[in-house]
Amino acid sequence: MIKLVSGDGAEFEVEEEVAFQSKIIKDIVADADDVIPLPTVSSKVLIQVIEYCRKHAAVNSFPLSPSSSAAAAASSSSSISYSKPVSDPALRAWDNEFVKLNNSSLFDIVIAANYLDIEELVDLVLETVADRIKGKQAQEIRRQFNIENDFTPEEEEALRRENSWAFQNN
Amino acid sequence: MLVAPAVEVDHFDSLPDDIIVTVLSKLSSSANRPQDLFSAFLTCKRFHALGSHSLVLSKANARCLAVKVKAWSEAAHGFLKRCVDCGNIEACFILGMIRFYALGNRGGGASLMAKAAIRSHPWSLYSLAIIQFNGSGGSKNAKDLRAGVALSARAAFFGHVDALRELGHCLQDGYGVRRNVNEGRRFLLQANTRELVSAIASLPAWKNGPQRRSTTEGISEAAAAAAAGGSPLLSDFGWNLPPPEPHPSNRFLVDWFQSSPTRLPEDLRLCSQRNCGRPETRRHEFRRCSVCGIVSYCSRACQALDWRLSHKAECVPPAIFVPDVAAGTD
Repeated sequence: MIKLVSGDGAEFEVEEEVAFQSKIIKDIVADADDVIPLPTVSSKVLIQVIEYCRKHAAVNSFPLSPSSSAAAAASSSSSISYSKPVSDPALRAWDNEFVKLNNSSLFDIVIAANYLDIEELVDLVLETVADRIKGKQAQEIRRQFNIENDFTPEEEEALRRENSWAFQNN
Repeated sequence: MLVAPAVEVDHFDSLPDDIIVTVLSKLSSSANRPQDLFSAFLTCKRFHALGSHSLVLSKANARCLAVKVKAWSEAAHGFLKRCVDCGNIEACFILGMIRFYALGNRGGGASLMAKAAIRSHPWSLYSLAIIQFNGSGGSKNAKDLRAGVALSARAAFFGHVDALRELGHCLQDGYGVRRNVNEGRRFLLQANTRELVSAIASLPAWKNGPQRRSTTEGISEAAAAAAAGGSPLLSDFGWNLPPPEPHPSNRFLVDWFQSSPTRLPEDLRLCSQRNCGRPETRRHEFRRCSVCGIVSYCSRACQALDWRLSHKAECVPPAIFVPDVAAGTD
């Protein structure tokens, strides 16, 4: 068992294979004791990250079921998209539920996951963020993420004109 | 109802640049149209600056690069070029097709496609195969059937169904390769199977959802969708499937020649498969239907597809034999 300590002092005992979803923790454990302080991660975020790691550690320890590898083969044969084949559909469904969070929670998780070097979790969250940007006008994106528009109206207009080709959809 | 927080924070302020670059590259690799990416660039200066990162431009997918003909401009051309410079093979293919067939820059277009073909881009390999089979851009003597077969084989190996079909026909007829009827039939069969698989995979019910159906359900659904008015395809087996989605570069060519008919010299023809868009580069370059002589195709794959899609119902031998028209065609 490995003990993780959050920035606000909460302690979490987790199995090795759960903690080792994080490459950083794997490296630390190799040459240190089993209590790992994570001062920049709050307990609220750490709970969510551990939940994710627990699920993925459990699924990754089993080989892919035949039905899921067949689905992967089918999706890779589609001609235009080159997205990487989907792993276990049940796990993907679980992931989709996991990221149903507001933007600030998602960003807290990605900062922690980036710090802990949990590549799959970083990918999952950033894909979700990209999906929330997709299909929206600039103004809607700003509103959704509280982004300040630091272009002057003239600058924005010039950019729109320059890239007008991209906004013509027929 | 959301309660507005006392202080509104920009969520992205807390994230380092490399994470934002990753978000933008995930956006460009999954975008449904160029606008998806450019709307993000317009939100703030930081996004705009990080958007020109090579990771973002190199990952842009075909739909993100799908410039519309009406919107074709120096700026659009420039965007495709920047993506090419970042090593985006999809951009190499699309710009290569536009230069070769629409802008008439044969050398530049072919070398862009070659750049993508070296990195095993199936569409580029297949497109170069068609150019070799037809001797496009050169004289009739420029045809290189063996090169066409070799390129088709490679494209088919990387999953290009039309290339597999082309290869099957070549083997069946001994065209550019030693004749092997059985092997040819096997390839044609395989092409049909792959078509079926990708058609099923693209069914909405199949794509969405953790609650996936069984394969047999998927197939019967495909058949039902086709019976409800899909275009006849796979008729070798009596199957009906919707036609495959054309690549954005083909759609560009179709629109290019349709929106301004003077772009195609009068004595040259377009491939009659309506989603192809390839034009002849010299007179009588394309093969004509040997029965009616009215339609012409850039490739056997296009001919086979169009036969199933529509020509089967339209093809009639000419009622009166007119020597003037028949002369010079084959």
